[in-house]
Amino acid sequence: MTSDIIKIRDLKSSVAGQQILKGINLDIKAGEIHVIMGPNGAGKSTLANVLMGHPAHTVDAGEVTFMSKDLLAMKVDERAKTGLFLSFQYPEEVPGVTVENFLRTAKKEVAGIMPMALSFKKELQSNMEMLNMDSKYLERYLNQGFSGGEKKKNEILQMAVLKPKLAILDETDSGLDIDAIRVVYESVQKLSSADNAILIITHYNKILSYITPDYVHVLVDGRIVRSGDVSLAEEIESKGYEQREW
Amino acid sequence: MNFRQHHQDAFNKMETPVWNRVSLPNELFPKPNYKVEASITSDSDYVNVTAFCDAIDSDDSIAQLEFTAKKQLGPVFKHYINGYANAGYVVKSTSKAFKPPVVDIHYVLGGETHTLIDNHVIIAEAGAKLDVIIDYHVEKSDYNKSENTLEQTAHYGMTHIFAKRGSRVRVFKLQRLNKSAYHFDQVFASVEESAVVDVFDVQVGSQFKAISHEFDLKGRHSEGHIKSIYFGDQDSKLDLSFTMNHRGKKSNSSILSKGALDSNALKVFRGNLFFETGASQSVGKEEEFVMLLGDNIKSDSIPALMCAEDDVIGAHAASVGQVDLNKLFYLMSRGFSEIEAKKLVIKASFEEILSDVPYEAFRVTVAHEVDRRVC
Repeated sequence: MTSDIIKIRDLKSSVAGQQILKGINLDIKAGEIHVIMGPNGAGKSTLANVLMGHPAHTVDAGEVTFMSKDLLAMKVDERAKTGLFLSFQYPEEVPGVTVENFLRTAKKEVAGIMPMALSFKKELQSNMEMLNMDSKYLERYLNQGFSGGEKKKNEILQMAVLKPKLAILDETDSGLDIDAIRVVYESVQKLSSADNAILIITHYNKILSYITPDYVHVLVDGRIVRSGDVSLAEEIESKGYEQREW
Repeated sequence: MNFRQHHQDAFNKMETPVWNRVSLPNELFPKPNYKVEASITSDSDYVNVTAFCDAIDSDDSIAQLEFTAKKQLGPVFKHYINGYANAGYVVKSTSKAFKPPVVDIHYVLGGETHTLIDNHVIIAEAGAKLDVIIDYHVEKSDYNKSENTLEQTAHYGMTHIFAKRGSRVRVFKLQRLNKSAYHFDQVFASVEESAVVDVFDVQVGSQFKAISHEFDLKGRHSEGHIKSIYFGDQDSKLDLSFTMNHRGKKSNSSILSKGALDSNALKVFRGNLFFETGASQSVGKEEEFVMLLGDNIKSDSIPALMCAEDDVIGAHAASVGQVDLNKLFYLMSRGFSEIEAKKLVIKASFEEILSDVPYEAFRVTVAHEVDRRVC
């Protein structure tokens, strides 16, 4: 039997008094890859931020069960420790902390024990090879002076290290050139397994050349208005969002 | 009359000063009857180190030290420190080696040493280089003791820097005393033609800290830079004053301060740039960035630009803000608790200054102190 990773029921949220999510329902099981598409301002990134617990967003109603626990009752770090991961659209720069130290400490926080230095480095290097990243990045301060593409690759590197149960990728393809998109999404596909799930938020279906989702959802005006398989993404590509009656 | 007696007499005729913005604590100016020995190391034969009290007796040029400062903690502090100093060194460098010689001085307060009054003179002869690290700290065994069980400690210090023609001096000051300690410190730098003086001032300890650093950029192409980091604990008081007097033509200065203040902290920051007649084509800038970690914090930033010369560039900037919530969220999304994330954000903010410190042990110590004190 496939296990539930996350169950979202009638999730409503607002920011600065304005309702953005107007009743999201979504189930994701282990082994699945979901894609959420939608026009600008539909609430895609808001959904990612609300699930991760951004303090600027207020949950007005709904329930979210993640790994059989009440997600909305958890602090942000508790959500991460339970296995939730968000690849940020705009990753923050943290000078003074090298990528390697950050990853090792984050792994300790999430896993509860400090990983062995040698085996950890080996695993890191293997993941960096997969992402076509130079190992010199390990010595650099986290995201400081990184290009947009380097930041996004670094997010996926963190995902590979932290091994979350559910990884939410918030427009990871934005700002990437075509080669980087291929490398990143082929890596994401490799990181997908029967034990975890991936939720990809994107505007475009160009990523579908490199990753095969099980479900595609269309989010418009704070609601998931349609769900289907990969053919839905192709339909959107040809007809757009605006010319349809959802 | 000798140097000490002259200043003791002057001090004893004065009344305890009254400060308006940050009121001074009670029970100031104790008169210790003991000397404090520092742990001091030097890595060069071209550096001469003499105890200040010995130099006063043997070196007339030291005894005649006078410095006309525009801004300072006040004459009471000057006479008190000169009259009652129980520690301090005169450090002279003639080293012109590519790598600057390093003098590392550590003072430990605690145990029987409740009061440290140090008087330092740092001299770089023409073309010489010199790095001096001065670290004020407590015994490690006192780290975990309750503040209530510790004796009140206080540090009063004065450092004169004389950077002669073409010399290069860097002074790294780290104050990490107990939370209950008082700390008064001032630096006066005299910078001759083409000489460069950098002072890194890191203040992470003590409930009351008053700092006044002043540079006299008297030579053509002289340069002075102050890089300041401070952490104001809960209920602490900070009075920081940094002054650059541009007197030489084409002189250059910068003041950069990065701070973090916790609940109920009170801080006054004064950044003063004076462009005197003759300082044409000089450039000075001052910047202060403060991060507020709690509630009920009072943070005053008072920049001043005084120009007696037309052809100069003076700039100032100040910003005060809460901890960057997006940065905290990002770090917490990777499993860091709120407090750990906050520490990382504070250390990241200090990094712009610390990255210029070439001594790893110094940087690591500052990071440990932030970890230890932010809660």
